[in-house]
Amino acid sequence: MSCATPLGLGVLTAYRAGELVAEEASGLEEHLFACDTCGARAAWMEGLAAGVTDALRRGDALLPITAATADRMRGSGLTLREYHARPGESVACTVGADDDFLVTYLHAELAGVSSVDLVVIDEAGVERQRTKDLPVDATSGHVVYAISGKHVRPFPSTVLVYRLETAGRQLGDYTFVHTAFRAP
Amino acid sequence: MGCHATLQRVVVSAEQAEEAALHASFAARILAFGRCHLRDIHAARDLVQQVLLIVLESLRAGSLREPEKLASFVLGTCRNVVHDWKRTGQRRQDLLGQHAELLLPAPLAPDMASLDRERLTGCLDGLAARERSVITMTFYEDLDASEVARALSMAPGHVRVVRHRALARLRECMGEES
Repeated sequence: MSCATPLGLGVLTAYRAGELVAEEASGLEEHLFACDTCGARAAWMEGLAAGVTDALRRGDALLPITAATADRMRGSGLTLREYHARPGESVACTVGADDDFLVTYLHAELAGVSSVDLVVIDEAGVERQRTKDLPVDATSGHVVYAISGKHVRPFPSTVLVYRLETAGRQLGDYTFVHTAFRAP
Repeated sequence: MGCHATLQRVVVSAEQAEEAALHASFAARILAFGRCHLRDIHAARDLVQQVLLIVLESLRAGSLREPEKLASFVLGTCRNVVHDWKRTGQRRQDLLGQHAELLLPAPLAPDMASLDRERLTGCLDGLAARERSVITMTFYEDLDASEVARALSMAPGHVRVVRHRALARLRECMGEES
């Protein structure tokens, strides 16, 4: 059975988050409970919520988060290995067998900055990766990101420079001296 | 004796099938209702249990006079339960005491958790960094648009745009009709 006026993802997300005014929410509920098509959409969203933690843990992509997110992750039982780095600093790092995520806090002069690019440069000075438009954690004032332990464990020992840029301006270089994971 | 035992098994099996069908149809909708009105995932999960128990009891007692109005009855039960909880501050403990033998043993969301996790991982990896951040804060941290906006120095409207775009891309990537 199809729906003539299916609930959009945006409005369904807003409803779940309590963002709709009472009248809107009530009207949406009447439709949601009566419509199997939209009920299936709601089920998809709950599946996404249920699966997102596991999916992020398996993923390879850098995940911009906030310090509060890291607290929540830690509180939910995830194992985090955390590093703080300041411009010009060199940080010794590694990854353990049980680390779900490596979380990095990049300190910088970020007043008035809401978006940065993160550039990864190898030992030969070659740009290996550029992640654009990372948000800045407004509460902590840092750029915070997580990478899954699963993604990092295969890395060899290496030295990488992480460079923060905004609007073509360099904010800082951070050197990470990574020691490869050794299985126990 | 053999026939009685067999009949018992058939009855139990039919009841379990009824429970499973009700759960499959309404659990996600009740959970969404709970998230909206209770703003707490644990309370929302308790709401699913309580509402489904009440509805099952009503169905078995023949109290639902118009079966075609089941959906409306479920929604009405959600509203009544949440209203009672907010008024009295009571929740699951009372229900457990009264109906422990009826509690659904199945995991809360076997049908809701049926997304292909490997594919979801790849699809999340394919989002832009900011989209990934907004999705994580929305679906892992249960933050609303204003809360995400404050955390990331974005306007709430911008958060909603990014969120909507990310969801559309996820659904397309997961092979779902948008």
